[in-house]
Order: sequence, then C-alpha cells, then structure tokens
Amino acid sequence: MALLEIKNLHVYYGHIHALKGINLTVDEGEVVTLIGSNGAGKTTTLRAISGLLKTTEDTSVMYDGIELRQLRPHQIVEKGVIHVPEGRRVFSRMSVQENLMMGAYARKNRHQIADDLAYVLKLFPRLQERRAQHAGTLSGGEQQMLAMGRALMANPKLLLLDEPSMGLAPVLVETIFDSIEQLNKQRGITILLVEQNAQMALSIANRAYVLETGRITMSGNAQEMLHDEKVISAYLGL
Amino acid sequence: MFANLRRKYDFTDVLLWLIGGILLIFILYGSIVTLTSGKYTTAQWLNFIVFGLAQGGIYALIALGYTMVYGILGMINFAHGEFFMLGTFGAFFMAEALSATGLLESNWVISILLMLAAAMIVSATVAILAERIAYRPLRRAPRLVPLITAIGVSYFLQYTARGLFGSGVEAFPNVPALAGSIAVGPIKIQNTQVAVFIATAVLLLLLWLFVSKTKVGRAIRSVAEDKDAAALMGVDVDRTIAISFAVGGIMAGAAGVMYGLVFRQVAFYMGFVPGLKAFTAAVLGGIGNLAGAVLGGLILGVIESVGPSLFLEGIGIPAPHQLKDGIAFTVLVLILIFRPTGILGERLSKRA
Ligand SMILES: Nc1ncnc2c1ncn2[C@@H]1O[C@H](COP(=O)(O)OP(=O)(O)OP(=O)(O)O)[C@@H](O)[C@H]1O
Ligand SMILES: [Mg+2]
Repeated sequence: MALLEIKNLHVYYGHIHALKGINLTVDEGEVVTLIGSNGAGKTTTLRAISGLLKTTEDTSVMYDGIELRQLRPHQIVEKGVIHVPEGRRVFSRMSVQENLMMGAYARKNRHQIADDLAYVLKLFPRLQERRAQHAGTLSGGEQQMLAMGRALMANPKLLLLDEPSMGLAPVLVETIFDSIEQLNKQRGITILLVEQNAQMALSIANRAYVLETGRITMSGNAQEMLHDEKVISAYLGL
Repeated sequence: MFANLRRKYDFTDVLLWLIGGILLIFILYGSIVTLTSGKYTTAQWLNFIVFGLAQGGIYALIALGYTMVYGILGMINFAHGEFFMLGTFGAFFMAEALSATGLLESNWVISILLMLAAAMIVSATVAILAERIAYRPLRRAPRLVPLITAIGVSYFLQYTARGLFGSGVEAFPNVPALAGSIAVGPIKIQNTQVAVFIATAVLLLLLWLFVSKTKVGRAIRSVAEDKDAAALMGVDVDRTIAISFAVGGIMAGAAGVMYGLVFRQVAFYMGFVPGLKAFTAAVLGGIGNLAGAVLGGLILGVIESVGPSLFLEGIGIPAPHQLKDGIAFTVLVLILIFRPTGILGERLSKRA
C-alpha cells in the first residue's frame, strides 16, 4: 500500500519552475531513493513534502490518507513524516542532548521518549560520549549522526533523508548507510532517500527514481538500475 | 609607511577613531578633575551607583524585549518602547482603582502584584497584536520594510495613547508602604528602589529558567537559530515567535510598573526615550544576547547616573544633569565605533 503518493508536484521559486509535475510513490516499509545531479530538484521535492515550500493548487501529496498540502510543517511532523534536511542543520548553540530532545518536541509519552533516546545512543555511541557538548563543535560525521538521531527521536513513520552522505569520509558513509538499513529493517521505518552517491543509495534501496531538471526521467527497481547503461554512464561515473 | 596605513584603514575609520578618541580623552580628563577636586564623598558616589542600578534594572527589563525579538527575527522592534508605555498606563489605571478602594494603603504587596498583572497583560497583548497584524505579514520582506513598519507602529501606539489618555502628564499614585528609605552603611536606598531590585532579580531568574529549562524556551532558542529546522522538529514557528513577543511585552510591562513606582508619572510620550536607551543597552551588551541585555542595562544606568557628576562637571559643563540623555547616546556611538558587537555579542553587521 502506498504510504506516500505524490501526484503532479509543481514548485516555483518566483519565475523559476523548479519541479515540473513529479509523480512518486513510496510504499509502506520500502526504501525508495531519489537520485539526480546538482540542481535537479531533489531538495525541493523533500521540502515540498514537509510543507516548507508552497506547491501549486493542482499538486497532491497524500500521506496515509491525509492531504499534506493542507497542513503546516509542524503538523506534518506530528503525523510522523520526519525530514533530515540537507546540511544537517543541527542547533549549534544547543548541546547534543538538547538537540535530541528537540527531535522529540512533538511527543508527549516520556517513557517512549526515554526508550528512543536509549536506542539512539546505542545506535550512535559517539553521541553518548558527547551528550553535553555543543552541537556546533561536533565533526561533520558526528553532526550527521546527531541529525539522524534527532529525527529518530521524533518516532518517524516516514523518514525523508537529504544527502546523508554529503561531505563524509567513505568509512562514515558506510556507517550511515548501515544505520539507514537497520532503521528500515529493524524498526520498520519507511524511507525516502535523496542522494548524489547513487551507488550507495541504489545498493540499499528497493526502488529508485531519477530526477533531471525538475522531471522524473526514469524509475524502477533499484538493483536493475544499478546495471542500467544510462544510469551507469550518468550517475555511477564508471 | 603612511601608504601602508592608508591601505589598511580608510578615511572614515580614522575619523571615527579620532572622534572616539577625543570623547574618551574628555571623559578621562573630566573624571580626573572631578575626583581630584573631592567635591563628592564616597557615600555620594555609592548613592549615584545605587540609583543607576535601579534605573538600569528598568532599562534591562525593556532591553530584553529588543534583544529577544532581534534574536528571533533579526529585526529591531522600535515600537517596543510603546509596549512599555502602554504597560505603565495599565499599571496606572490599576493603581488608581486600588487607591480608590483603599487596597493600595492596606495591602501593598497584593496591590503591586495586581499592578504587575495589569501592566504585563496590556503590554503582552499589544506586543502580540503588533506582531500578528504588522510584522508577521512582512516576515519575508526586505529588512528595511519591517524596520519602517516598526516606526509606524510606534507612532500609531503613541498617538492612540494620546487620544485615549490625553497629552498631559499624570501623577502615578503613591504607594505609602514604599515611601521611606533604608540605610545600608553610608548608602541610602529608597524603598521603591529596593522593590525594583527584588522584582527585577526575580523576573530575570524566571526568564532565565523559562528560556534555558523549559520546552517552550528550547523552542524559542531553536527558532532563533534556524526557523526551518525548528519547524522540522514540530515547532509551531509562528506561535513561538508570538510567544517571544509576549515575553518581551511581559518584561516591558514589569518595567512600566517599576518606572511608575520610581518616577511617579505617566505620559503618552514616555516610551520613546527609555525605549531608545534600552535599545542602547541591548546594543551595549550585545544584541540578541539575553545576559548582554541585562548587563548593558545595568552598565548604562550606572554610567548615566554617575556620568554627569563624574566627567561632565569636571570639564566645566554648567548644567551637567541636563545632559544625562546625551550620555546614553554618546555611549551608543562609542560602542558602534569601537565594539559593534557589544560586550557579550556576536556579529551585528551580518544581520541588521
Ligand atoms: N530558494 C531558491 N530560490 C530560487 N531558486 C532556487 C531556490 N532553491 C532552489 N532553487 C533552484 O531550484 C532548482 C532545484 O534545486 P534543489 O536544491 O532542489 O536541487 P538539488 O537536486 O537538491 O541539488 P543538490 O544536489 O545540489 O542539493 C535549482 O535550479 C536551484 O537553483
Ligand atoms: Mg539538495
């Protein structure tokens, strides 16, 4: 069953027509990746889903039977759609602990929050060591772990990840992708993953979409795409 | 060698440093002359300082509103002084009513709490309305637009108050229990000043707890740092901004009660000068920084109270106390020249 169903998504920045009618679905329990080069509109797509950007009237973003276009960003978070933005955007003037608690901002149940905190600190032991440290002083990799941990504190049903591998050393990229797989398999979190690292993204995804200057140009099974001539020449850099 | 210097500093920089330097020399010279003349005793200086701290506490409470709104929206809310003025009117009408029922004489603690409640409610309501009606629609507009709007809001509120309450100066009712003064060694402290110290300290403590320990406080800090990221955490950004305005209004209302108790008057134009001075205090401490607003308020209050006798009399200015207001703005100019970030502040130029 489709957890997220986007139909005819258009976004304008002033006169710039950034998304030109995107159709995309994510089924419950899937990992779907959206790949594409710089400026294709990947970030714009995620920001439109989470309500940070205005979409046109004829756009439809259905999630779990709800039209997200009618909701404001904080209400979309309350529905379980959690977005880890491009560039991490951790709160640099807050401690690691406070950042994690910001993730749980919309939640009430203290026991569940405490359980999830324990889970996150086990998943990223690095954060445990640095709980009292200001987030602004963390390394890039640690900030990415914090951004992911913070999102998990929100108890996501659908996780939107915007280039989690950006700027990370290969070892860390492995760690981050391992944890993404783990979240999907162990916690049953549905994932929409935006990546420029197509190789990595396709290797963990069930299905994939290719975005080029605001249009979906290809879609299908992720494994098959890994071997597709066009994808290889354009995105796998071989 | 001169060519080298000229490359590093342009003409206006040098000119500003020159002006600043001359002002500093005058201040130092005046202070030395006054101190060596022995015109004032230590007790008198201490009294000046106590008076300055009481005045500075009021500036600090108002400055918090400037700094909170700046921290969260990067905007200087020039109407904030009017929130303070309207709060003082709220306290004034409450005091009149209490005086009529006799409660002001019989139970001063409850009376002051009621005056605080009235002033805080009025100031916070006006702050919330100003944000909702005037500023929120302009949030994505260029910086200059909300700034000009704020000046418009300021005039609108001033002249509304003038229309409603008249253009004269009203005497704030006397609270008999606060009439006297206490002596601490050689220093004489007015009871009203004691009340200002206590109330200010309590409010600052509560504000600090609110901002640093509560969930809403954390939301305010998150919105101040990154609005989109805060929204992605489930924070209602609009509501949080409204709350910040309300908190600034509450502090301004409290300042209004203090002002009424110490200076015993209200008038429609009374928000302007204290507003500008509190803004100066916020810049002095480092705008956007809450601790800075408090520090800046206290320092400005003391400089203003000590300054006329200390350095203006020394350089032979005939009526130094008339120039008290000039001191605050000289301080503003000096900070903007020598330390635009303020004492505790980060970058100012990047935003405003
Ligand atoms: N705030 C904005 N104002 C105007 N144009 C914008 C804005 N944000 C993005 N764009 C434009 O929209 C297009 C899509 O941008 P987007 O950020 O979605 O790309 P992306 O696929 O995420 O790229 P990258 O891989 O570099 O992050 C680009 O052409 C970009 O220049
Ligand atoms: Mg992007």
